[in-house]
Amino acid sequence: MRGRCEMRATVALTRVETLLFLRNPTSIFMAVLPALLLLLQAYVIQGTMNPIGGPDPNAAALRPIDFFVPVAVTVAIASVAITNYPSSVGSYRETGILRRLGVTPVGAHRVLLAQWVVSGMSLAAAFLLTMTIAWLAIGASAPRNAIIAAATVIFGTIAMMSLGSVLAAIAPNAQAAYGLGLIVFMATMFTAGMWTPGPLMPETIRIISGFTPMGAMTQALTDAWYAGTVSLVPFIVT
Amino acid sequence: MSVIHVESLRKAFGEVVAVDDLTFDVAAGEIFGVLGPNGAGKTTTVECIAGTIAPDRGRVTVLGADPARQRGFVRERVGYQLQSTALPPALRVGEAIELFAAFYESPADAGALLDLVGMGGERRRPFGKLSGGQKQRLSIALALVGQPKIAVFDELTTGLDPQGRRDAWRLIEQIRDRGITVVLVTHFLEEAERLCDRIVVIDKGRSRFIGSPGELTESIEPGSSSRHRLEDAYLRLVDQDTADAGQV
Repeated sequence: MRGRCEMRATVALTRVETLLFLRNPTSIFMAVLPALLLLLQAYVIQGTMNPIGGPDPNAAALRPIDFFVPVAVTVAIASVAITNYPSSVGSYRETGILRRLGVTPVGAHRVLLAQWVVSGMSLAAAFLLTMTIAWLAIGASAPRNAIIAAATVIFGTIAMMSLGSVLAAIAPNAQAAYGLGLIVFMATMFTAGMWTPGPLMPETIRIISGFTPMGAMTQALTDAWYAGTVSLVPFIVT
Repeated sequence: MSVIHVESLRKAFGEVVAVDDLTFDVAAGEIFGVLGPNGAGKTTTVECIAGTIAPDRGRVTVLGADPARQRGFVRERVGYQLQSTALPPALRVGEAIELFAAFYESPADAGALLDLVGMGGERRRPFGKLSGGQKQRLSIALALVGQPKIAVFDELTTGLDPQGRRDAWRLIEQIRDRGITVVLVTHFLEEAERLCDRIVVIDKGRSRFIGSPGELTESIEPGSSSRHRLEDAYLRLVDQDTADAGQV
């Protein structure tokens, strides 16, 4: 009896969380933003669609925009995990919803579970949108090693959600969570290579970036995408 | 028959003793008022009854169970309206009530409950667009959706206009008429006088009076002709410097 009731409660919470997500323009914007940035870089910034050239035949065929595809995937995941998710939890704490749910038979922890499910779904949607744009508008190639790419996305997602959970845990309200989230997000965007893709970064910064979750994730994804091999270091970091 | 038994309850947060040696019983089917100035320990008492905080000393029993240990049992049977809880602004009335209904083993009919609190026509209205009175009526409905034996209302009418307060009072009487025991935490003596069968007055964490509002008036102000005899009696009971004159 209790088990069935808990299942029903989880389903109901997830349904409500989904509805609330769809009614929040900011969340949706943050989820589709990376895909839009990818388009912007491809079509507004000059020269990103032309091959790099150079002596290395493997790299010569690649265009700068190709390096941005793994970055965009990483950023899509980070923007949901580091901004949307902590600010939702922060607003729940602020308004006393967690306390109110705490005095129902199901308890407050279940709403976090529902948050994870909804974040997972919006992550997947953001990921698919980014991939679709990369494929249709930019003509990006598929990852050379799809399994490693998929594993990287999964590990990366868990790392980002953990980072988001830390933010959610320390932020007293929605505003603080969103602000903290954006700061961390900007920092991670840099290490992920949003401004300068990893391979084009100065060596020192690139090494430091490799030890941050987003930088590690992008490097692993870039390797999986274009080299088909990947080192273990990024996984240890994430 | 008592449904809530509080015995020698003590709870401190660090240096601050919120509740000290508090003892009272709530009988089945009554409306029991918990009164006291701001910071007297009313909400701490309610939280011990809810089982969200555990007492340092003493005993709290709700329907024969320990709320801090047998949480599931107590929460299935006690409905709470907490002080100043807001729902997400985009959540609609109908969605909120159905969500909370899903938390209980045998929930009340959501539609009938919304009709009871006068919100039957507002199912599609988002929480953020409700008036203060409507929000409180919805929170009453949410407290009742699990078909509880006991309903606890913490400062239900604070911030409501006179009409909203009257509506809430009528609703509380209807709830009692359904056989639900009501615990009402309030600042308003008029409210206690009108609704409560018995009250406990708490000041600085200690109980100063237990009995009916009429007994409080009689015990302290025999023969006074003041129009505000209960208020006079109450203010004499609690320390003047802790009682906020505007909000007794």
